Amino acid sequence: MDGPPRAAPPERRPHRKLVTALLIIAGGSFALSWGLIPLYTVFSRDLGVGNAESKEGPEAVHDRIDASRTVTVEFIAYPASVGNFDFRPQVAEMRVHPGAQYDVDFVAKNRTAGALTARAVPSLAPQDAWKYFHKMRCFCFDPQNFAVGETRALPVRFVVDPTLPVDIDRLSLSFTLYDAPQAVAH
Amino acid sequence: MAHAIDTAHDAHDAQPAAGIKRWLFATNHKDIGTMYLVFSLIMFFVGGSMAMVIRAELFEPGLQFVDPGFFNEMTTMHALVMIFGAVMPAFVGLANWMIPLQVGAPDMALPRMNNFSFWLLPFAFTLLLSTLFVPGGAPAGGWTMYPPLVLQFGDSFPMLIFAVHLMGVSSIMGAINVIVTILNMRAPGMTLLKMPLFVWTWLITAYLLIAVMPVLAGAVTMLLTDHFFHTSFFNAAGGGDPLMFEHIFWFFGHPEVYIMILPAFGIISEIIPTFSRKPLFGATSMIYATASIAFLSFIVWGHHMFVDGMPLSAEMFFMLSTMLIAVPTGVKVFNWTATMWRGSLSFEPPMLFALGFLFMFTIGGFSGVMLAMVPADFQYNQTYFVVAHFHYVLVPGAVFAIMGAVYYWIPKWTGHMYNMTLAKTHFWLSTIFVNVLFFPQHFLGLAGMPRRIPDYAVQFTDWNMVSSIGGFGFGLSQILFAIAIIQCVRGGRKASAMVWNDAAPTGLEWTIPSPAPYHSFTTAPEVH
Repeated sequence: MDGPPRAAPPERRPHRKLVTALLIIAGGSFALSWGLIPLYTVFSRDLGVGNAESKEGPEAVHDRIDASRTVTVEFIAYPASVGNFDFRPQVAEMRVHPGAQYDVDFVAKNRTAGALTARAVPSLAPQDAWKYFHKMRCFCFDPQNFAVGETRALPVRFVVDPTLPVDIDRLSLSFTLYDAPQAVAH
Repeated sequence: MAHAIDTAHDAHDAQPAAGIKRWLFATNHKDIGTMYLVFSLIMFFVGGSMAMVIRAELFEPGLQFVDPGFFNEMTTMHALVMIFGAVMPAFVGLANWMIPLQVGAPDMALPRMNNFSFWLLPFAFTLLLSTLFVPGGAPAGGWTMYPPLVLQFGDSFPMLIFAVHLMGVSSIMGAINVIVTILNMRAPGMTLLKMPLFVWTWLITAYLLIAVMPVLAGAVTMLLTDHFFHTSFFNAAGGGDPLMFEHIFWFFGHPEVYIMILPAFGIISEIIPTFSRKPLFGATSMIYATASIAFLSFIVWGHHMFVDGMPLSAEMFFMLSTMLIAVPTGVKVFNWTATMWRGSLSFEPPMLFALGFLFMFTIGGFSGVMLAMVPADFQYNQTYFVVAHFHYVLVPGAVFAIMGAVYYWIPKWTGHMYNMTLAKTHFWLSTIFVNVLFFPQHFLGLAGMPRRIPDYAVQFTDWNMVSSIGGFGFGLSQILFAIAIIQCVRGGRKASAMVWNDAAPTGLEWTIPSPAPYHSFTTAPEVH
């Protein structure tokens, strides 16, 4: 293995370039971890999972009402933390025609001795049905202020798309109401 | 080395500084490697004591010794200490010691950064371990740090995050050092394909480290801002999604698993040929298999979250890509077996540990393939079957490989042979007890015992008692390891340059005297 003694120490390749390149890779990975957030939103929307779909604005209203078909929409309300709110839908379910517009109220009551701010996040089962369920108006995501003892109706206006696959005849719309003390209501 | 070369470079033969300064300001790869290994051994015993608390509590159903909160702190801290404090620093220590010796370099490429990356670790772990004494106790939500649970810890939360950041910085700097050393400092004639397998597997591991440790840093930074700055990355109330943390975490987490096993593959590929007295069978295919495993590790993270909400198509993808890993791993196991085929085997302690690795890592690999199947995973997840699986790949896998490496190279480090009988006793006790410890956990898991619980239903009692006895036995056996190492440092029969003379190991590290001089390869050797 040992060669003859060398006159000069062997020439080492400069490290600076390689170290810079490796630091760039590390920095790129760090950026990637943050880039995964928009990527996750895109994937969730394309795969129809999570709540990425639910922030959509109103889409084209279908004025074609399919009166021959009836779909049951169930309403479910969850208060995220027990005790702060009474939270329930005004009706347990509605039988609706695809294409027609319906209104439903959810009612929330502040049960604590102080003012509260809350924020509701929607969910729909089956998940694949999100793209057929259009919320024309919704209280979801916006911070809601409640004074002491205040009871308020939170309205939702929705349309079930007439292109809803025929094998779906029942949808469950649920809202989870979270305490959001740091949110600022507009 | 030839005498002429040594005297020609007297200027480089400075002796180590005296006292504590030698260690505080260390830039010598051998000193830093030693510090990493000693640190890792200490952490191995710290994490091991936590495992003893866990096994003592699980000896019988009911709550005997600790309250459930403290039990959860123990499971969480055991994992963090063992992964980031014991296994990873041990591999970095071995890399520091052996990579310059194996590629014929005088030192690591960036010695001062090397010093910094080691000295971050004691601070990181002081910070992490001190969380045991802060209000609210240590982190107790599992090492995976899933929100929203992790956000509900007491004062330990920011300390945990900061400790993880320090460990991450340390690992990234260590990895950069390894890559620069391997790519820039090889002796003339040491082409990439001539490099020993330990160097190759570390090169690939180092790339994994710089690719994924920053992702973990990003994920924990998001936890930090969610907790203190009211962002909503993982907060559903603000439009975020806790599930996203699991994706980001396991995008780091699965390559991390291979960070803890690829260098072990390298070690086994060094030990088995030596004690089989045959060159490694299919050395080039070993390199390609390692690279394939590293690549696949990036696209299988979803198998950690099969039951957490995922479309069918994604479950299929993650299941099949995970099973694909069995192919390159199978190539490796085949090559090691084929190396021994018709070899002239001898069973010194390093070879015993390598053979233990080969058998028991394969058991862990099989249970891994079982867990990869989505329908089976629905049944097994969150049970002791998972605990049995990853302990089989990490304890008789990664840890046995590290112990084998220590027994293989320590005569080169200290210049002394160790007590062979003691080392063999250590091996046999460890092997028997590690199976008594972990094999029954397969049965417990299949019978439905959940993981991360301090109490359990009475029908699980018998196997838990067996497992706990194995745990205490395995823990106590490791004291023999410490004794063997301490004795070997303090004295013993003189080791020759080649150490394993009748096996005639190949590699540059065996061409220099034992103990390795403080400065080695100050003149590059020629490799033909």
